Amino acid sequence: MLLSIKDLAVEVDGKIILNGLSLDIKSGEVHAVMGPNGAGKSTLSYVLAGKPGYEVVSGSAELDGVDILSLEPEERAALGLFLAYQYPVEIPGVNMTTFLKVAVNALRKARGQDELNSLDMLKLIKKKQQSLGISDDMLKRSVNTGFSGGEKKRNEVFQMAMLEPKLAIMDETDSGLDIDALKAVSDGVNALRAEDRSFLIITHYQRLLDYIKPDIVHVLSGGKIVRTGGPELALELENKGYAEFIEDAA
Amino acid sequence: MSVIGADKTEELDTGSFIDTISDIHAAYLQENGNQTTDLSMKESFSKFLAQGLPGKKDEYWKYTDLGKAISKKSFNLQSPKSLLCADNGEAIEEGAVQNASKEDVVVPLKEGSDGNSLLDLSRSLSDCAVINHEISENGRYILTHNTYENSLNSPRVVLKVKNGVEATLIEELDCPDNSWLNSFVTIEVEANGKLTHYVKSKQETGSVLTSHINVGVQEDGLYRAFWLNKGGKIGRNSVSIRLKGRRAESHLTALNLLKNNNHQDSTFYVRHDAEDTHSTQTVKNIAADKGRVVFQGKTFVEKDAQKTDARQLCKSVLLSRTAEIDAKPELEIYADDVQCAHGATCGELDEQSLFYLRSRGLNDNQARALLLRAFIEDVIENISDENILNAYEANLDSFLADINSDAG
Repeated sequence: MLLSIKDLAVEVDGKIILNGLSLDIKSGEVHAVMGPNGAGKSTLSYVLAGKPGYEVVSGSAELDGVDILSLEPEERAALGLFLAYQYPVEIPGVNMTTFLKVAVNALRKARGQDELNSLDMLKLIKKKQQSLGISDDMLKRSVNTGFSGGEKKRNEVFQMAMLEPKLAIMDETDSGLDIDALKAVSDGVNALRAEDRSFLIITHYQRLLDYIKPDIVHVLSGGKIVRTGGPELALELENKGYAEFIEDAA
Repeated sequence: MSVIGADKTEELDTGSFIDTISDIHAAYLQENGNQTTDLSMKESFSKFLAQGLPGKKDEYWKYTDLGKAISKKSFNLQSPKSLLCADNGEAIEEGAVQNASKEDVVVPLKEGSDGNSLLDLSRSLSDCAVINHEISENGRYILTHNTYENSLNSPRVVLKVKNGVEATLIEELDCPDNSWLNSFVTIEVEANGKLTHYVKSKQETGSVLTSHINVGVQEDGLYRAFWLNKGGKIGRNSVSIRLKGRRAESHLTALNLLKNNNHQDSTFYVRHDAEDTHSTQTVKNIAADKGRVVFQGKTFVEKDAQKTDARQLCKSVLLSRTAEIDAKPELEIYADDVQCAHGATCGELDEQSLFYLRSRGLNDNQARALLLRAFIEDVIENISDENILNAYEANLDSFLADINSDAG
């Protein structure tokens, strides 16, 4: 099992948001977690990535057999966890290329690989940027600063391609994207699908799943997984909405 | 003595410094004075004693209490020394009192008494400027002040950038252990002249730096200055600018990087006397540990200085609960058709950005270094001189690395 979450309860600002969530993802699988607003979807992504302020009350989460909940965010990244943000942070003054170099080499070092020299780094960037339509101009700018909504999301997938995670969590990657941007981002993700890479796709709408076909779909409501099924479950939700699950959870 | 509490201690301490310096000054005159200079040097020393060291009671020294900081210190008095070199290292003027019988055109720094007692102190050690030089050729010039350990060096330097000349001046303010460099550099930029002034300060343990720079800029002239300071027991750059001619410009930029118990004060005064003049003051501060930064910036616009454009910005990042920033931006405007802006911000590093970087694999130290670097990037990228840029970068890297080792 690549990711194994058992009975996870998480508190934010004194309020229980996740309440006994369990979820298993095997290597190479694509899982979608769908749910109504306020179900705890973003909390799930943040607590796995290690954001301060998300307090684990009980339960466990293991990545490749390692308990990650007590690790620093960078240690989780080194183990192969990647979070594509719903709202990528703008960091004025930090150049994209510099940021990528530092991040790639930090991870390589932590994973016991040799750090890349500038030339190899540029080659790697060149190789990955083309397939995702990342312009040279974007690489010269500050991280996410002044990027359009579509550019920010493409940049998240680009970073994913550069950092080669084992588990990519995509938090509402489809929000704020027009149909062309959605297609571009999905193509990027699909190109990264591999036997040794899993995805946890968090979304409110079924739309994204037309482009990124999940193996398994979960419904998250009231802080726990209330139903699990195949891709057909997403279509069912699209037709019927979340009403039934909100009642169930309550 | 009827004074009570803390004031009493202060007064006594200051008194003890003044006592030592009186004896040392008498011996200094015996050695360095002569019949023609003795009188004026004695007179200046009396004036200095009457005013005492500047401290909390003086408006522009409120946050930098020099009197208190050096009350328990004692300095040898060295004969004032400075050296002006060409870029190739060849000496242009070796400034020392013995060979200098030069006009001393240092004017009081600003309205009020700021720096006056320290100027009197300087005049009590020499009755003239040690260097008085006209820069009449384009090029790079290097100004150093040869200060000894445990000594007070108090040189006055007068430079004139001639009509249309474009020059770069690199001033090195080296303060060895327990020394005090109290320098006065007066610069006149003539019409169409351009001077870029890079100031590099390097303060060893226990050292005090009170640097005074006093600049006049004539029509279409430009004065641009950069400081990178790490502070010391006391580090202070007092800068006074007069934009005298139309379209004269001055751009002052300081980067203050403080840690340990270091103290750094950037006190800027820019006076617009003529129409269409333009000034900027940009100060970026990073303070860690118990580091303390003081910024006092005043822009004064005379009533005739219409169409003045003056901008002032002070941004600070505090890295610990015990670090301190005191920022006092001021505008005083008598013209009615001007554009003036000032702002001061103070904060910590953005938590969202830190987490974003860490989630990509950077450890806390790397993430902080990257964000601090970003904070000052716009200042660094305006430095066109490659040698200076490299020197500043090295300083910066060592500062960021130091902070990291402390945090880790």
